[in-house]
Amino acid sequence: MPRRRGFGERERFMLALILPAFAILIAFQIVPILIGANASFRRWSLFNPEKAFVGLENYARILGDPIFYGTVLPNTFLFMFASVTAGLLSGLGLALLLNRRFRGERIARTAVLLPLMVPPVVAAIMVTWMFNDQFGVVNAVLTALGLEPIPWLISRWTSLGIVILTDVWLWTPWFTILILAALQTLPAEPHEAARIDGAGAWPLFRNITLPLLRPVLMVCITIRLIDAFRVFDIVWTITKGGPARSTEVFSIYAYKQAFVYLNFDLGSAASLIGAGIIMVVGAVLYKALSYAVEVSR
Amino acid sequence: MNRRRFLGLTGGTLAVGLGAPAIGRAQSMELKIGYMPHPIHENSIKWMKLWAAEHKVNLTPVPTSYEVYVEKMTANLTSRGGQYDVIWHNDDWGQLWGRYLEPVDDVPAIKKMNRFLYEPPFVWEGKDTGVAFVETIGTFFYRTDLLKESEFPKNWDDFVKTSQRLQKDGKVKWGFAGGMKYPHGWFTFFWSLWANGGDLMMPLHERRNEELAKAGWKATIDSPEAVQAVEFWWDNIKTHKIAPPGQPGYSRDDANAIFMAGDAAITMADTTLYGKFNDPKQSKVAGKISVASFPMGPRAKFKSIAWRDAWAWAIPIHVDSAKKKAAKDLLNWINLNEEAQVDLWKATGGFPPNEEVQKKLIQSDPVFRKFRAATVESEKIIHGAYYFPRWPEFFATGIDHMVKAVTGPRDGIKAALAEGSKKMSEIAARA
Repeated sequence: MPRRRGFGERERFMLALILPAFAILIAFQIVPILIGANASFRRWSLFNPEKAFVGLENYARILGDPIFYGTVLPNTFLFMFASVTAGLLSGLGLALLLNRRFRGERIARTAVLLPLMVPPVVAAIMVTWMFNDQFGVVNAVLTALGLEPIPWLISRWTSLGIVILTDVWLWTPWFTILILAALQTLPAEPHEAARIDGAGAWPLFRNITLPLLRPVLMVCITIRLIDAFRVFDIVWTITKGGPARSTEVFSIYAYKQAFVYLNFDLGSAASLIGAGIIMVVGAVLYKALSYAVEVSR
Repeated sequence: MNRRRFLGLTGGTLAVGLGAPAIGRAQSMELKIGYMPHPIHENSIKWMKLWAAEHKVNLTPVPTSYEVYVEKMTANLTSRGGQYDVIWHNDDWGQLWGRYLEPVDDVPAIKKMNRFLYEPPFVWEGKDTGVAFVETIGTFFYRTDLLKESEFPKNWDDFVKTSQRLQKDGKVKWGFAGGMKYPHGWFTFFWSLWANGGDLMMPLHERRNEELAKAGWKATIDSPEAVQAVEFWWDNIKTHKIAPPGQPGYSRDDANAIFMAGDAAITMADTTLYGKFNDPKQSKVAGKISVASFPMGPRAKFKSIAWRDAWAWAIPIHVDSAKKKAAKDLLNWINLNEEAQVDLWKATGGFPPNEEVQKKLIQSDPVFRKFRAATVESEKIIHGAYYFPRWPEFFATGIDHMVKAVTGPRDGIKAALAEGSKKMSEIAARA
């Protein structure tokens, strides 16, 4: 008797189990991406049903927009590198401090993790009030010290600095916990051998600890850089891209095009350009990560 | 449990789950109201609830922040989403949403309202698309414990001198505080532009799209009147120091907070905030405030000027017909209910749109008379926005360039505004 073609009961059962997840993936990930990609090649405003095909016109407009290449991209890359560098250094420092035996060690580790439990929007609102020019605690301290209060949120660099500071505060514990876990799994022998040879704390850290941490550090950097590229919540809450669009980062720019200016076409094109940029950045980082892992073997 | 039974049970549960809301719906009608948390909306919803209880309708108010309101509602309307049956409709979104809204000409209460409120903001292809629930009119609020009515500045020069005098005497920290950043520019840039004889586009004070198109969609924030208005703010912040240095980053809420904390002698806001400013639980200046007309600029073309617009409730066109009828009955009832209209004024300071009620208030309420004298009885009345679909982008671009001008060097103001004007003209022409 020939074997029946198609799915058996077992396969049908397995398909039934994965079907809901697959349907959700299609409905909420694949279809919106396809609609967005389609919109990026059309004249498509949220208020107007006209959807004429315009080819690459929307891409040309985004790439030719001085705000995009003169403000948004520099801000985005500045935010990525400043935030990740400061977060990494702070996290590394805290991990080294916490990787010792001391009284209250457990309490200190828990306290360091607290910012991770704060939703970014809540943290951003808190920071906005701290830096409020009239009622904020920062200006109250400056005034108490006899200094002039500063209108923090009306200049590009102070605003961007506050956004970066907030991100560093939120993400330092994440670096700390990963680096601390790595530190505790490092082999003791190389350190002991170096100490017997008379190595001091700094050479020990620079020549032994840091190279051994390299794969973990590279994973942390890669994940955080990609994540920082798409930052939205804290920038929107603190500055909304202002003053006068001077602190817009990539995701704010795309959001404003689509949902403030209601140019769904330009917002979609900006999103796809951003996806392309982050794929290139991701590929470079992946190469660097592979190299770092290879070297440390 | 075997697989067949598992699949059967899962399918059955899903069918019951999906069917349950339909059964629930059949029992009573629900009206979902999309609104912004604001004293006016809350007052209107309070009266809606009374009507709903009498008519056995479940009323579900769904709040949405002003900062994301237009994008959220636009997405809902264009996707024919079922999240709302009645939505708050601001005048400056009239042309944006026109095609997605149910015509409401058949709501009799509209005939009791001033047509200026409706044309052009709430008219789409000859049909009204919103039922006004309050008139929104900007006015100056000032502290009566610091300034007598006769002392309120009539022009910009007085405005600066009066503020400086109060600050010098140690009576108040700031002469003035007002919202400046997008989308709050009415409370600084726009009023001063209009009070100085300028406007955002040519021809002056024109709001009909056909006429704006004939004039070539020409933005005019680089006009001498506009440049002078932005210089006025630059000087107020940096030279005269009568306004907080952080003002270019202020929303209306930031400025309100300063005024209600007693740190500013004067602010500019919609009359609809009178109730909030006068509430001792929220405001240190409660019981000590009054209203006045705009101080006029050196290039003013009229003795006084004010804007007069409305906030309305609208019905998405895709809502089912039974709900549309219920919503229209509800909106008609609120506007014809004298008690509800008077309560709106007494509780918030918002002008009730029913003009018959306004006439009675003029007779009976001296505070209402004062508010009218400071606003709608001005020599020139204009609309506070424009009504072409690209207004949100046009408006944001204008405010961003004004903020750029006021935070940059004084001699760069003209160039920043010229750049903004050029971009705004391009945006408007795309309409």
